Amino acid sequence: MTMVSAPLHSGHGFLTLDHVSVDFPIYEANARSLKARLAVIGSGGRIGITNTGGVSIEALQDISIDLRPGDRLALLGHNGAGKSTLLRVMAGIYEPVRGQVRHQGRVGSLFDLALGMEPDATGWENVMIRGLLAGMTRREVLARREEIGAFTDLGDYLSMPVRTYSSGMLLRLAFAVCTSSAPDILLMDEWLSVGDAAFVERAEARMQEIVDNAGIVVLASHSPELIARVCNRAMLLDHGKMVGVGPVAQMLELYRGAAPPLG
Amino acid sequence: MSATLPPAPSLARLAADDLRDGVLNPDLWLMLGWQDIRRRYRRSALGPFWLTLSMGAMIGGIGLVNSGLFNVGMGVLLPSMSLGIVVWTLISSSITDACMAFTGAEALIRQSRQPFSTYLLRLIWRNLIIFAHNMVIVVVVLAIWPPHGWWMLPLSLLGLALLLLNIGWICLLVGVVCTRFRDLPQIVTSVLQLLFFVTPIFWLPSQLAGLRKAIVDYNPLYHLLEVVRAPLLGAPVPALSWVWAVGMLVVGWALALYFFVSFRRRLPYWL
Repeated sequence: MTMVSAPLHSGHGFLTLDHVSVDFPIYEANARSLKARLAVIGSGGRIGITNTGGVSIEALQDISIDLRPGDRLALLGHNGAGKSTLLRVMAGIYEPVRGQVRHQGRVGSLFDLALGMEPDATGWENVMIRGLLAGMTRREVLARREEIGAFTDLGDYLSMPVRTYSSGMLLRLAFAVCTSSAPDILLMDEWLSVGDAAFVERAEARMQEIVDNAGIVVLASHSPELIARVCNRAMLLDHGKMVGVGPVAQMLELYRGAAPPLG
Repeated sequence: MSATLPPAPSLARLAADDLRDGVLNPDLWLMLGWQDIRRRYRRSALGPFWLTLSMGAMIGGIGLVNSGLFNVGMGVLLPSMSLGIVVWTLISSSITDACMAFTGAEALIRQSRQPFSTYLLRLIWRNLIIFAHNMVIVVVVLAIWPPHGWWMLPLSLLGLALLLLNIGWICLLVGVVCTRFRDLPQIVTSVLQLLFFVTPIFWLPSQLAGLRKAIVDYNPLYHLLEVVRAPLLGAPVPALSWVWAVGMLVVGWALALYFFVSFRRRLPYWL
């Protein structure tokens, strides 16, 4: 994925997926071995494995969507439906095997609460780590330090090692840093559930701010209440395929009526 | 929908963006490199100096034995040996670390978007920090047995720059290929071990004569070592070593970039 330098839409962010497909190769031990591969080549295929993989899982098939400022998209689907993979494709982590992803604007992603955190380092030190990982410079993080600290509402805990933190506290820290970088496109995997009611309320308010600033929010969640409150569009995924895109209520209904989870 | 999209950027363009974005965001890799060091030595008072200490003891011991074995004065052998082992450690541990550059950063790569070059710069920076600690040994040795002159010191810095740029392409190449082929790290380690014994680190290149001289003359790592070491010993760098160092730089980067451009987008899938 790349930043499109020539603005297509008067300075606003956008996120477009055009017939995106993603396959994950499944390697057997031999296919990962250079020695095995060389034995095959060196012996003209007589020695060793002849089938070097070829097995792959289609994680996403032919996904297209066009997100514009103000769009708050919910990703719905059972475990393994492809929600997380789709979020990672939107974030530019996986470049699609087929199709294209284009975006404009700063992308903020929040997939793993403890990502990059040093358990023995303090909350403040981890604010710096996460800030740099979110694409800010050291100077930018320092400038926003106070504001980030205030939003976490963690007080003196920020001077404690984060290994003493609960998952709810990690969420506060991670969310505060991620959203303070003022992303135009905010991508979140389902974890908002670990926050307490008071924090979830503040988090929702901040997501609303991002949307009001001509931003885009994409949220994968299993919580119909959260989705109904936060989102105005929804996409239902099943086994990597797009079952439907539309208004939240309609998609939630389709989701409830959809086939039960795998197995 | 596709009609409204501008043409997709080329693979080469994306690879170049990756390298540029990594280099131009030093705050991130400087921090990651420091964190690696801090994590490794968090509970030790001496920190990376533990390595320096054991390396110093090794140089003292082997220097004593080898100067007797080879009948070479300590004043000749030790400066060359201490510089040799310190620079070699920078080269070999960078390459060894490069095997894990991407597989070791799996969580970061799968959960956040960063340039891949960031992870390479991080490991080179980390090894440079350890290198700086180890240079204390060289300073001590050169204080006891000073070189013939210091006028070539700037040349040594040029040599170090050349060495680091070469380490850059080696790490890029090794990092990409080791992510795909998981048995490669062991092969890399074995090759480095072999090279360690055929490179004049604990012995002097002048000790080889006849056909055996080819072992030194055609050893690429010897030349990379020599462009840093020779000027600090007050000796001229052999012209051949400059040619090798610059030649490797050009050919090596071309090769590494070819692999990076071709396989960069596959890296997250290989993890």
